[in-house]
Amino acid sequence: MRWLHGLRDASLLGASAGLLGVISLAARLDIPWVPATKDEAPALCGDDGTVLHADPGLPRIAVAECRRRLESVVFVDARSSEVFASAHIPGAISLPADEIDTVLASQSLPIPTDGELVMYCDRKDGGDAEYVGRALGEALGCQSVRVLEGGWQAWLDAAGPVEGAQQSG
Amino acid sequence: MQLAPSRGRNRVVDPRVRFAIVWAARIAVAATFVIAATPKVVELEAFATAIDNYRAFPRWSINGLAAVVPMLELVGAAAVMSGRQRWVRAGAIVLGGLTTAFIALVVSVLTRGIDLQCGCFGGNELTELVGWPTLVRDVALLSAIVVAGLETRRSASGAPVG
Repeated sequence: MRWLHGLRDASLLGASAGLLGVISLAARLDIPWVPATKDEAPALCGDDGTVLHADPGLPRIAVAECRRRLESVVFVDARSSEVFASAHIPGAISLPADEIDTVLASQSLPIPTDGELVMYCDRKDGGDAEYVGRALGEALGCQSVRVLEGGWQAWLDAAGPVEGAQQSG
Repeated sequence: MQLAPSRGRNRVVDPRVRFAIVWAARIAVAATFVIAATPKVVELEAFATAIDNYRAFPRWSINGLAAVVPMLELVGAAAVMSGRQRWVRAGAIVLGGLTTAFIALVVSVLTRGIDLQCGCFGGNELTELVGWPTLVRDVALLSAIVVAGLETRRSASGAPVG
């Protein structure tokens, strides 16, 4: 019986928390919430004006996990070629999102279709990486494609190793 | 440490020891949830992203969950520390329910083989990935919540203490 009363009191606490949550949400309406809907997910890293909508459905992989498995994953950089040349994750392959269709049609890429691919781009929500990852999955039949959680900035924030013209780690 | 039977049930723990253990559990549980909730309230956006990464909830519910979950943690922690048995029990039920949900989520992530950051202490943490240690920690936390919800109404002398 006491636990029945406990459930009633717990419901009261839950309602209080819900009310506080609504107030908290109301106070943050100006924040651009990250879990954007599919229609809100823009795409390209480059500033060429092209907009490709990415379906954010590929699984994420955390930076810490990537760093632990640095030798066993293949990184694919979905940023522009210029930015890639400046700095990128060691061993990464450059596949700019705005050139992916052309590149896939014209070249055979040294990408292991049975290996683990980790896509990244400049966008925190991984929109471009998603786009390139899906294209690779469809064109080459890559089995395991994931998106680096937080993208390039998260890699830099975690002091991940970097190579390129502006080598910083 | 076995004491005389009381109301037909064997008491196996000295009431003073029980009092100390229960209050230690309450403090540990409340501190854990306050520490976990604070960054979530401050970085609501990052926590919403962490929830979204679990791919277990419809997108329309993500922001609401991100706002309500830390409030449940704070309200539950305050209730557990209130010392009033009625609210302690209610707080333990709230926090126990939350932790059970966390455990179910962790099991679902392990089953699906997803690598993601836990988000247990906010969305900005970079180190903790969901894994077996997360599951063990959550089960230990659930055990502590059960202990925290126990009554501490009588001391060794039988006088009310809390």
